[in-house]
Amino acid sequence: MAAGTRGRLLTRVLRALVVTALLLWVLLPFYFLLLVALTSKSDSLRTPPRWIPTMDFGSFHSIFKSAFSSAPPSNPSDLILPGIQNSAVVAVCVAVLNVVIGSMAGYAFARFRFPGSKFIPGLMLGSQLVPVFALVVPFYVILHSLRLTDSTVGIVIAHLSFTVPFSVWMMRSFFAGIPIEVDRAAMIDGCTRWQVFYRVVLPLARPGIISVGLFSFMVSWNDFLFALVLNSKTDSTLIQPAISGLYNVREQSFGIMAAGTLLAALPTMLLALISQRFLVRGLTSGVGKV
Amino acid sequence: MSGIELQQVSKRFGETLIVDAIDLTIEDGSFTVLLGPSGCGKTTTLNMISGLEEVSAGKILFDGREIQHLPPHKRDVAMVFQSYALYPNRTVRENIAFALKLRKMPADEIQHRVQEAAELLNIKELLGRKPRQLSGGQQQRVALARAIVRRPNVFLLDEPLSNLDAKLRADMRIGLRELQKELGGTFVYVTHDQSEAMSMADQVVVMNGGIVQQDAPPLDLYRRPANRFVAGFVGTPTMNLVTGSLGDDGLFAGDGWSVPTGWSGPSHENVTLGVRPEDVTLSPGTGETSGRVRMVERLGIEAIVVTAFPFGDIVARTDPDTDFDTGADVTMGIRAGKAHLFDSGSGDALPRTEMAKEGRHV
Repeated sequence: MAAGTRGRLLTRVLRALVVTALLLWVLLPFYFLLLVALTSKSDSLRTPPRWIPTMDFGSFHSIFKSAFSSAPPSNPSDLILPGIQNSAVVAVCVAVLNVVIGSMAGYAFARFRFPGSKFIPGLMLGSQLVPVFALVVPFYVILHSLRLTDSTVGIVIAHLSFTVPFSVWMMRSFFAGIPIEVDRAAMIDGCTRWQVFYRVVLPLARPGIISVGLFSFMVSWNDFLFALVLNSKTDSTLIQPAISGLYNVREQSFGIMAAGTLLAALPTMLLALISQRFLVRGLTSGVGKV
Repeated sequence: MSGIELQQVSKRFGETLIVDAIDLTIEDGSFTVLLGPSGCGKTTTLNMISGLEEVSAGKILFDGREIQHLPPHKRDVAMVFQSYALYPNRTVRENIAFALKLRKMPADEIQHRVQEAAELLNIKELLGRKPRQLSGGQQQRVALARAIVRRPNVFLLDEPLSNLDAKLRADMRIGLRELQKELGGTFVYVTHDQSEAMSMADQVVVMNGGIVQQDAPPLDLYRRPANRFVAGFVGTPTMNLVTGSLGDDGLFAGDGWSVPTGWSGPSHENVTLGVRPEDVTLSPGTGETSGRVRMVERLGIEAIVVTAFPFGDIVARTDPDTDFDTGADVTMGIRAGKAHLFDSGSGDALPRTEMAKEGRHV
């Protein structure tokens, strides 16, 4: 019995060690980010590092001060807040359009038979195998000829092109998991096709909608390549190029870089935290046995 | 109320013909059962009546009005599905009320109707629950309540009892019949279970291969099957079917054996003789047509005796206290006027007028 207790204790200790190691692995970089962001410039590069931040808000101050001045941006750090704002507009548009297009196309692919209804979803999934880098130049050429570079519309179109196929595929599998009798019962109850979709089936696919919205928001928010190539103007820059713009050969400001990165990571982190609750609840209450 | 009429209705999926130009009249206020094995086209026929499937050809009329081009929500039909198909994210109350809400009925009227339907089906205490918190029988009653709450003219039921256990199924047969009497609508009920069809229907439409095989009240179907398929499909144990030929003396003869059928009329080659188990008489001893008892099932109310004859096994339904035992030698006879004869080629029943009054034993 003593051996059993000792064995169990050992398991618990081991488990705790593994969990701690994993947590450190995930959280330590974040902690270091926080540390650098909240440490004065002179202290931030010390060896060994200070493990307790000096609570110096200078980096955040220099990011935010431009927001309250009417002067045109003069430093790279002045572009962080406009970048967040621009990225928010783009990512929200991309997420909303993904949900709308993904659910409507996904429903059509899941429920209707038409020429290509089997083939096209496979093609869409296949398109995900093409490296995104391969699309940058063609997109630049096309959007430039349409005068859509340096514009929110252009970047939204680019982001849609590599998020929508996945969203359609995902929504299609969600709808396919809902028994077709539910659609039929709704039609008998008096729904038009459109009402079947938005009053009956769409609420059942809520976990899918949240996943698709979240996924496409994050892809759009985290995109660096397209945001860099398709935009050359400072006032329409997105957040990821804005952060990379902080990297300056003449003057290394790690504090401002860290602070900017933290601000950039905040929206996606919050979004993930909030929607996670809905996601879990949705999965347990939605598509059950009918 | 609505009478339903199908005129030359066909359904084709690609190259496959599922329903082949059927004509059907369903009386206003009747309980009509579409009966047949799986894949016979009965559910497709029901779906064409509901509007869930489009017809490939032909007309469907409700009270003389053509409706085959209308979508389901314009046909005023209610339907109960085999899987019940309740909306999983809505409560029982919301499930039942949904159709009324779509029609923008005032809230107090909806409340009243839902209450009424719930009372009729004895599910009042379940109104606040979600479908997943209900047993199969309860879900089934919710599905029925959802159908009746709209007071439609036509009720379509697609194997509504097949997911229930035997006891509940027997109860619901009675319940459904009573419900129909109370509501008075036209019920069209699809099943592959012939005993369900026999016990509930005013009219049974037997289908096979996309064609209506026979359309008759249950007892007619049992007593005067129109063809060999219906004869074999309706009744348990199934009708004994033996192939041979009919002489003009009414003697049905096979290879080296014969049995009198009581039929008089022209001789006929290639005939199938059909005899229901309760119309087979067995007597002890050997004769021209004798066989050996293979098995006796004593079921309490009756005994089922399976006898091996030269032409195959014959199932007889006898007295539960029958003396026959496995291995006994018996001869077979047919009760007077109870032999059915079918053309072996077409499967159609030979005209009944040829039947004589007397039957004899071998």
